[in-house]
Amino acid sequence: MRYLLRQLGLYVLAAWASLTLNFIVPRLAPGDPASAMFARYKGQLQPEALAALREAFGFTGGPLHEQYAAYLAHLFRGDLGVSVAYFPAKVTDVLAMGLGWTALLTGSSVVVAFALGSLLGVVAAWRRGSAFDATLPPLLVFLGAFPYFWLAMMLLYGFGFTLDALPLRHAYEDTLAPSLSFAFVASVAEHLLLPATSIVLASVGGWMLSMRSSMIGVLAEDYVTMAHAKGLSPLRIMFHYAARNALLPNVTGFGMALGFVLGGSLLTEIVFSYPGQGYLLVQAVRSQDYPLMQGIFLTITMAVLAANFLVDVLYVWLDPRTRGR
Amino acid sequence: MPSAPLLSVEDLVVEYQTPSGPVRAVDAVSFVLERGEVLGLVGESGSGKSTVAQALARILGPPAIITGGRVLFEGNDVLAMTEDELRRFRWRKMSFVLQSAMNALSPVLTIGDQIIDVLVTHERTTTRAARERAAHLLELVGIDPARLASHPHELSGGMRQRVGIALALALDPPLVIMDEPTTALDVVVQHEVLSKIAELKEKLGLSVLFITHDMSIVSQFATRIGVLYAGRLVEMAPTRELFRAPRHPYTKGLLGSFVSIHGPRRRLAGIPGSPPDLRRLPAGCAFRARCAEATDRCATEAPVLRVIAEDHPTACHLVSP
Repeated sequence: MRYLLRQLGLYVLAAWASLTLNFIVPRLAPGDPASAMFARYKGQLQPEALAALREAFGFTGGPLHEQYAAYLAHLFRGDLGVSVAYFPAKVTDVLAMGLGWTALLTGSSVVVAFALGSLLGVVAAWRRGSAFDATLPPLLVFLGAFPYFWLAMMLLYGFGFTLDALPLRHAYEDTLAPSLSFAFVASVAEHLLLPATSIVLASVGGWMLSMRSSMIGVLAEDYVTMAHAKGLSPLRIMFHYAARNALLPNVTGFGMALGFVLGGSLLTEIVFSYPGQGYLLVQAVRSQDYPLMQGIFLTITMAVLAANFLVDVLYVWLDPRTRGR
Repeated sequence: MPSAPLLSVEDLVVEYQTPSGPVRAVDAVSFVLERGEVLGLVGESGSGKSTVAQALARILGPPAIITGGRVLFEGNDVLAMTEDELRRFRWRKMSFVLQSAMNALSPVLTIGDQIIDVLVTHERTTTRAARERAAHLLELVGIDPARLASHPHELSGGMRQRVGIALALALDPPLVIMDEPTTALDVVVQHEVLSKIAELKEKLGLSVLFITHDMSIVSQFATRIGVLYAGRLVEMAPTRELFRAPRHPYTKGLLGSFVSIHGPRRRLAGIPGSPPDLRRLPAGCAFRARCAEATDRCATEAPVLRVIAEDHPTACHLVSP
């Protein structure tokens, strides 16, 4: 428990550092977002409106430490300012649009790829040298060697365009209003299938390989020999004794991947016009939408930190050796 | 068949499949272990002693393959058992204490889990009954039953090894194979574990196959000792006889290379050279290169095991009855 508290403290420190960086970096870049926006509206904006905008962004024009204080104060009130690209929507509202879809798409793909890859890795190591082990890992690594957006385009072309079996774009049928009805959920699932599959296909081979190699190491351990000698069933030895130990090093990788979930799979979202974070980020960059960019980077950073903490918790749960430290 | 010995091994051959062809790690090893007996199996690293042990319960993983011989346990052919029969046979009839209990216990499971699962698998008892039995087993080896909830890393090396012994006794098997049970421990703890084993052997009437490279340890326990060299049994005799009148030059070397606090002072003698490469065994006697008394005959003809004295077979050209 003390270990977890100490870790938590470390993450709070890291969060503060990243918030501060998030404040400094845009101010090092040339140009001023409020002026850029002013230019975008070609002088239609009143000077008063421009001043209000500046204040909302934290570009109050005062000394840097005052700007910093204002920035932090806004942040803690959950006020990330107003988006330029989606003016006059608040950044938090814009983020809320994309966040859920990205969490759904990337989150489900990462979890499925990790679970499936690990399971395949366990079986491949268990049947080392079999036909299964000789064909599947090379095949999946071959697939994983393609850029993931290329796989996405191939799937889109094959299943979406040529076969017309699955939808080409967006997260749900635009004739449906978002609700918890069966038709809507089914539509979301249908739209999710292709982009999620493309991400899973691109990453499952890596998970399989790393699980396979750590599993092969574990299978040579004395406690596995011992489990055989105990006359336990092969399934119990495979999962309870071998896989549980082999999983430990891979949990770290899983946490990293989970942390980058909110970063989105930028190009996948673009290929499928999926309305997630990655898509928003591109919009933000195109229109020099600093507040939105800041908001997106902030959520990504927080997600990475939260995922790291989650891994720490998971480790304590999975590996008794980390307890009581 | 009450007359059948507990364990009878006949011409056991184990080969490791390597890219450069099969390597014979165990070459035509035969021995008999009677009920209530403690048989010591001694040899250097790589002599094949652990391979023999693991072959007996068929827990050798690839690339090791048993390519010949017979293993009879209470008259039943272990090498002919199906996977199901084998699973029921393992641990119920023959259990193991492995070298370092450090690695023989899974680090992520509690001591209790690892004792209970073998009980539940073999005896179809409830978890509650198994837990009680597990607590009793820990008491038997002198460990607080509250330790059932501990993980292996929370125990000392000596405690872990005693847990290993408790685990081996879980199903009350007729034979326990101890493969270097004290090697990873310091001398004081070694003594503690050994006296625990001796005590339990008396109390439970166990038969033990005791594998070690340490002559001084095996002499305290074993009723008979077999000496392995390069995968072959080179000499076997009752302990007293072997210490009194070793015949094979290798056994003599082993006996000359440890300190005894009893008996006359003498100069320690080692065995020159190192164990042979099993991939390139020389023709003739495998020990020839390290043997001070080797003759021309040793270079051409491999010695076979012959009974030299009563219950004392030796494989050496130099000894005669």
